Amino acid sequence: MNSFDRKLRRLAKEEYPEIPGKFSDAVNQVLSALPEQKRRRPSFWRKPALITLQVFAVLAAAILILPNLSPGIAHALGDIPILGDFIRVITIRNYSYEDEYHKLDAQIPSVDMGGDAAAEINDDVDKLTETIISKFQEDMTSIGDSGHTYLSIDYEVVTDDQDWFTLKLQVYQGSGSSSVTYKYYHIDKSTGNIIELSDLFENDDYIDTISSYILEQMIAEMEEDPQKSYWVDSQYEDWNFSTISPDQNFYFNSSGEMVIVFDEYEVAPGYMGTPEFAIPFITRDSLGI
Amino acid sequence: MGDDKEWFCNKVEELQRSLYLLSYSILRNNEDACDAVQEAIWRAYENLDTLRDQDKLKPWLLKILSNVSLGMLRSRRGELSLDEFPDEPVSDASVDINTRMSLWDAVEKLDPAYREVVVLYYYEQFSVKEISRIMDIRPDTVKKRLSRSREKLKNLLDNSRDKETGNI
Repeated sequence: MNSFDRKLRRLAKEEYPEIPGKFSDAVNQVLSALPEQKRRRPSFWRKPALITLQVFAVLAAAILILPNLSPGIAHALGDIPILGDFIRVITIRNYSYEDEYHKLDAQIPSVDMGGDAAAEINDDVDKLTETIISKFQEDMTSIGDSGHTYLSIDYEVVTDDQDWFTLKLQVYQGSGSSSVTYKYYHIDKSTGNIIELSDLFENDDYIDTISSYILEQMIAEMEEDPQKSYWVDSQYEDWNFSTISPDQNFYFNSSGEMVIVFDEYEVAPGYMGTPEFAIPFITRDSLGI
Repeated sequence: MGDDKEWFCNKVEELQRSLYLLSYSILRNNEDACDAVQEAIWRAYENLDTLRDQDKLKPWLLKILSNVSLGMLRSRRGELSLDEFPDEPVSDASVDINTRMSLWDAVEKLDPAYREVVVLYYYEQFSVKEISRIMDIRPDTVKKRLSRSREKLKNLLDNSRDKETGNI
C-alpha cells in the first residue's frame, strides 16, 4: 500500500481542487467585518458578513456621497393613509443601483409626526442606513467585478393603532452568503415616548422570566424537530443563549402577545434565520398598553 | 490587538483552501461550506486568546471548523453520528468515462467520515495523531478510516483507469 499511499499524496498535491470565487468573497467579508478589538459580539448587527456595530461608532456627520447612485425623494403617500391618530411613515429617500455584480435597493423611512420621538427615530434610521449604504459602496468598490454584493433596506409598519406604534427596519445583505437584520422602533402614543423592552417593566425580573421561557421553548422545539438547532449546550459557552438584553428586539403580534426577536446568528446557526418567540403571558393587556 | 487581527487575517487568507476543502468535504455544498467557514472564523477570532501556540492556528481553526460543519450536517440530517450516515449514492454522472477520474472525484464518492480523514491526511498532510486531535477521535479510528479510504480510493481509481484503457 506504500506506493499507492505515495501516489495519493502526489495526486493530492497536483490536483488540489479549485476554490469557488464566492468562497473567497465569503472569507474576505468575514475578515473585514472582524472588530479591531476582540470582544463579545455586539447585540445588534451580529452577523459576521458585511456590517458590524463598530461602524456606527465611527459614523461622522459626513454627508453621504454616492456617485453612480440615484438618491431621490419618493413620497409613498399612497401606501400609508393619514388617519387621525395614526402615524404616517413615508419613504424619505430611495436609493437604487444595479450593475452586473452589485445591486442596491434602499427605501429609507421617515416617521412623519412632530415631537422628539419621531425626530429621534428618524435620526437613528438615517445614521444607521447611511452607514450601511456607505459600507456597501466601499465593498462595491473594493470587490469590483470579482464578486457580487447585494443590499436591500426596507421597512414595515408592524403596529399603528390608538395606543401603540411599531416600525420595523429590515436590512438584507448578500454576498457569498446572505444575512437579515431587523431593528424595531416603538412609540407609546399615550406618552409620545420611544419605548425599549426595559421600559415596559418596573424591575429587571422580566429578563430572567422571559429568558427562562425562551430557553424552554428552544429545547422543546429541538426535541420536536431535530432539524432545528439553537445554541443552548454548545461547547463554546459564550455562544450559548443565557438571557435576553434590555434592548432586545420585540413587537406585539395580532393577538397582543409580546414576540421576542433575535438577530441571525444571535442564538442559532444562520440557517435558522431570525428566531422569534411569542411570550403568551406578556401581552399588551397585561402591560396596560 | 490590532496586530493580532492583522496576523489572524493574513493567516486565515493563507489557509483559505484548507478551510474550504475540509468544510466542503463534510457538507458537500458550497453555500453551507461558506456559512460554516464564516462561523468558524468568527468563533476562532473571538477565542483567539485561548490559542497558546500561534504555530497551531491551522489545526486549531480546522478543529473549530470541523465541529461547526458537523453541527450543521447533524442538524440537516437529524442527530445521527457521522459513522451512521448512509453512503452517498455513487454516481458516475459527474465523471466523463473518457477521462481519468481525478483523486478529488474519487474522494467525493467516499462517505463523509472518510472524506474528512482523507482531506486532512493527503491534502493537508497532517499526521494521524494531529488528525485524531482535530476530529476528536482515537488515533486507531483515524488509521482504520484511512485504511478503508485507501481501499475504496484504489478501487475507484483503478476502475477509472481500466475504463480509460478499455480493460473493463
